[in-house]
Amino acid sequence: MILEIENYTVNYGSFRALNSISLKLPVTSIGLLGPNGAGKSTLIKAILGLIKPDSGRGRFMHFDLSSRDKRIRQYVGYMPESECLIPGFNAIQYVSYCAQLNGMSRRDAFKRAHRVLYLVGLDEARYRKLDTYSTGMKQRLKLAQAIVHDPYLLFLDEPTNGLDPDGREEMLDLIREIAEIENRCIVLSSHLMRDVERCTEYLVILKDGQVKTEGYIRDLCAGEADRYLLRVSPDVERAVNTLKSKGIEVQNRHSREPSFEVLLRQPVKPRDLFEILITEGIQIRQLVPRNFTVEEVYRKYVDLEKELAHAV
Amino acid sequence: MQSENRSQIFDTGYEKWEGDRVPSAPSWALIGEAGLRNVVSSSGCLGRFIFIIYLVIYYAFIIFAVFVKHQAASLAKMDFMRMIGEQLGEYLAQFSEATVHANLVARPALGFTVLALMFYGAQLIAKDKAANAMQVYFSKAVVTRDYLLGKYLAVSGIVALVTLVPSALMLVLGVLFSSDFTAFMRDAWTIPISAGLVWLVLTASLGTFILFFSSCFSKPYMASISFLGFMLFSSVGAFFLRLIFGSRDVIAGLSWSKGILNIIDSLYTWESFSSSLLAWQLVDLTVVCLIFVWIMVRNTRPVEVVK
Repeated sequence: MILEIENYTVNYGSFRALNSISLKLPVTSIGLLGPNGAGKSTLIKAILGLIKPDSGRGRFMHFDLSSRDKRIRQYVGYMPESECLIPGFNAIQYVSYCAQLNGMSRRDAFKRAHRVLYLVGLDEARYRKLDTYSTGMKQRLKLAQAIVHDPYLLFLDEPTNGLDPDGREEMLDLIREIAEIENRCIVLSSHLMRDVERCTEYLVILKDGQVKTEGYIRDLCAGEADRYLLRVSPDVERAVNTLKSKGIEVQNRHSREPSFEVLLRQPVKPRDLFEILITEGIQIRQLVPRNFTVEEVYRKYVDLEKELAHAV
Repeated sequence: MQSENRSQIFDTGYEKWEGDRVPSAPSWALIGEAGLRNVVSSSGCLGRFIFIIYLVIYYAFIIFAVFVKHQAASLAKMDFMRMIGEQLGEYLAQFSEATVHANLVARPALGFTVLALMFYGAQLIAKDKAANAMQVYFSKAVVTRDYLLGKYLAVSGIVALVTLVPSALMLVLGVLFSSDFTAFMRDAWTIPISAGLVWLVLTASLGTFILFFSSCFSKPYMASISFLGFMLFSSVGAFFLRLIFGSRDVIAGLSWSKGILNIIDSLYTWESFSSSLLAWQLVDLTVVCLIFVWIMVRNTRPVEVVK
């Protein structure tokens, strides 16, 4: 475990932003998902020490988080969600300045700053004043300042905001590349589930300041053992009716494609589906165990639709 | 990230950095240096020009005054400089080195520092707040103490231009021009200490005022106006309080500009016309500075939390 926190609570006045959160994060790429106001950014800021938690304790590497030891941040990188450039610099000065603040010598800081600015695609703009940067360039620069000192733990808060589609893909590629490096851990906070699915291995879902679930994506998305996705031809309506008449539960029929899910109860086995449908002249084109997507896992725990219905 | 003409960096990709994470310079020194650099770069060509012209004229005047004081006899031998040599040289020669420093360095320094801090010092924290840069600073190995010390360092750099630099210049020129080195040293040996203390007092007092106002606003001009208003208000307020309660040292000490001037004058000359007034001025200034520092520390937060 690279980071462990226990009973972290943060209150903004009477509003409880984090409610006694406990987490143990492995050294891997971690996705932090949750609706707006779930406490994702607050959690990151509390771990970084930007906000003082009202209660709780934690440990990062061999540091006690409550000690507020500034050396902790030499091993941590943070890419904030909001714009946060120090005025008066050009990119190379800004990034090397950030590196020096994190304990790199001036020489190393400049060498490394050039390198990361190349990697994030700002090589040609690195001597330009930051005030002249576009939103996408500022986003890349924020990533550069976060990774320049090669942090062991990298927090990325909505890193693809404001990027064009190509820029977004490039940014995600780079994040993925960093995440695959040994002993380096990224925490990607985003509301874009595709980004999280693509870049991370481990998922933490927050809602109302509480952890709803956490675990490796492969485990969370593993389907139920008796749920299958079925694609048939030619008549999907008849196939559904036939299976229902045999007492097999049919769910989630796709509106445009000839596919639906079946829930098999004992003693019905997958091979029995072939026998049942062939007798009706229906061909099975695809029969696969039904795994969940990250979005489905998210919906399951956050139950956003239900909340929206209440709101209306 | 680019598809064409890629650097070889892309072949190796992201690489670890295994160097020692031991800062080569304290973070407050880096923040101070960056603060000064940003002040210079953001002042614009006209601002820089006026600033440099002022300093050049001021330093030239100081060189001239020191030369006249110590080389009056040589000047008197030149026809076109005879009057200056005889009258001005004679006038300056009657003053001790400390008095000359108090009049040529301390007094102009106060006015210059107020103006320079209004224009440049006000930006130091306000701009960071406006740019939301606090969370970048505090996500690095920087704590509030480092950040504020860095800003004080930037202020001290500005103040040094009108305290330490002219004092050092006058001392060096004094050594070069004086006819009696021993007498000069006997007269001027306290000057380096006095200059250092004046520099510290101006940085700690006016620096605290401007940084306090800079930490209260995200617009530098608001900080400048508040700083000027505060200085004027303290003088006017002290004046009216004197009218109501009579002339008392405790009330006179509330006029910060006069208080600072009296303190830095006393530091050069090592004497004061009223030790009671000086004591009250020191107490009042210390109390207000401590209160401002306390509020400033609370204002300097990495993220604004709306309760």
